[in-house]
Amino acid sequence: MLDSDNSKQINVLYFAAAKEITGLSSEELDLPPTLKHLTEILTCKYGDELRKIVDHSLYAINMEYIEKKDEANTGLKDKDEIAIIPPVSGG
Amino acid sequence: MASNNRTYIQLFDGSLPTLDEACHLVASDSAGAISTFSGTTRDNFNGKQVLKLEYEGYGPMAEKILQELVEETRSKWEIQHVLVYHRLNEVPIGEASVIIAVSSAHRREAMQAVEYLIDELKIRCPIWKKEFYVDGSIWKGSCEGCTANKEHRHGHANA
Repeated sequence: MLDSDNSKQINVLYFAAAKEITGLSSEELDLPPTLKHLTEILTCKYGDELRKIVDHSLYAINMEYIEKKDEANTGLKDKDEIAIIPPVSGG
Repeated sequence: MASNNRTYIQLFDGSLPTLDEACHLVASDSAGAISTFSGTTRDNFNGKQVLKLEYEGYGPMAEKILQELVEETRSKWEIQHVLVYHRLNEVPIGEASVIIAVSSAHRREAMQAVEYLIDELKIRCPIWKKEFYVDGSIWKGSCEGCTANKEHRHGHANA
């Protein structure tokens, strides 16, 4: 057992196709250091089907879009709300 | 002057108010123009019959983005009151899924503001449409940023 700090959590929100693949609208996960790490965790958990969605989606942290190119360097912190935003189609 | 300008942003679960009601909300004695847009659900896509449509939204962020869009719009054009309403969950064919109304002293500002608001809403607002056909259903990912001649802010992978 790694001595990681499991008390730090993020809340991940799933919408549209991502919600259908995970079968969840949201879940709490242990805090990963960056969005890139989160993508790896989600791929392990839900497979390539979700990976494809994430690759074509943007993340939003606490309701702010994060540009694709910044995902690797975007750090996360305790209690962040992370949403996977597939290409939108409102209107 | 600017502080008297009203903004109406709301997500609805059920029928939207009529354009008459929207116009009444944005009306102003000093505005010579009210421009509106109504987006209604279509019964076909690429020749396929659409039986019904459902919208899902990231509600709090959708409202935040709409608020930001209205602020941007106000910085670009001299407009008065603004209303942007979007409907979520099932929307029967032929009914309005989105309505926009803007008042301004002169017509051009209101008309351009409405066009900007609906274009940007479609690119940036976290709302998704699912179309149901006879033989299945699909989440639409319009991503108009890919085709529209403007900066691609939704940023989905082009590769």
